[in-house]
Amino acid sequence: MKEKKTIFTFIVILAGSLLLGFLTGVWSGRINGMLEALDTTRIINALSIGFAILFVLFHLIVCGISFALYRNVRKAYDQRTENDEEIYEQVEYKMDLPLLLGNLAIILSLVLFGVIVYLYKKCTLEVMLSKALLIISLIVFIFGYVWVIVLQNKLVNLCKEISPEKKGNILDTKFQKEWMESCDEAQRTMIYQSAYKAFNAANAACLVCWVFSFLGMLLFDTGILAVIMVGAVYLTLIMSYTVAAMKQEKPYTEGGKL
Amino acid sequence: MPLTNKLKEYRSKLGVNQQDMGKLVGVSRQTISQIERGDYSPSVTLALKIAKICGATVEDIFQYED
Repeated sequence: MKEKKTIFTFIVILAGSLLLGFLTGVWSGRINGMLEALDTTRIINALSIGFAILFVLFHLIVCGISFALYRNVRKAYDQRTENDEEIYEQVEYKMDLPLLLGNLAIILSLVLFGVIVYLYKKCTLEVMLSKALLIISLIVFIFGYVWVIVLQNKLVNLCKEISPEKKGNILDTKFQKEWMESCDEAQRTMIYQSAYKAFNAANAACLVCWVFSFLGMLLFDTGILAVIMVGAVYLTLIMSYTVAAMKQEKPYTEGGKL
Repeated sequence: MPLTNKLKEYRSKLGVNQQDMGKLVGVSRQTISQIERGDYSPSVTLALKIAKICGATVEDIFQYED
């Protein structure tokens, strides 16, 4: 009974997606015509200035919050007493937030900088103003990388103080490998479980990205590159997971693996 | 989790903290903490190591309840 319901739900979702795709295709031609009639110059000029300001504010705010969180964690660890075992768990948990903020800052920085460069090419602002905005954005982009690396270095060093068996320097290209090798069974289990959740989320995200890049190609003439890049990322994700799983499942024969 | 344990009790008898217990059995303080909280079930190897250090059997320290 449950299986029939599952199949029915799948068919409904499939039919709905087909209908939506058909209607999008029919309307894309009309929407394209409407967009071409719009005067987007003023919008692009305003966005050029707006995004540059947003970029500066974004990094200042996130950098400030991240370092404040790190300082709180550092203070809590430095003030620990000898018999206080719970403090270690609290510190390890609280370290995750500035780490997350740093990673988010890097990713959003890449996106925002890309948008700013795109708008620079399309805008019709005064040459000096548009160049100044671009140079300020470039400086902020580099500053973004610098503060995130400094923060991550401090967090990794704190982690190594708490757990002296941990090895690795974040400036080293082999950091991921060394860090993983210094993790014990419980830490590796945690990493594997988190990685599987990330895999599932990335799986769904690739499909959504394909839809948007495809619609962008139809409606805004963004070109085929975005569609191909999403495909390349999706392929890398699925293939790397499948190949790793196959290696785990290789059957044994007497004397060792096949 | 159906697996419960008396690791904290045995660790207190030994008079070691989580960090030192971890060093004795070859894992991190974090893992000892997770085992004691019931958030992680150790591998057979690790359970045997813990039992040996504590001078007890695996069944003395870890209990499985359906």
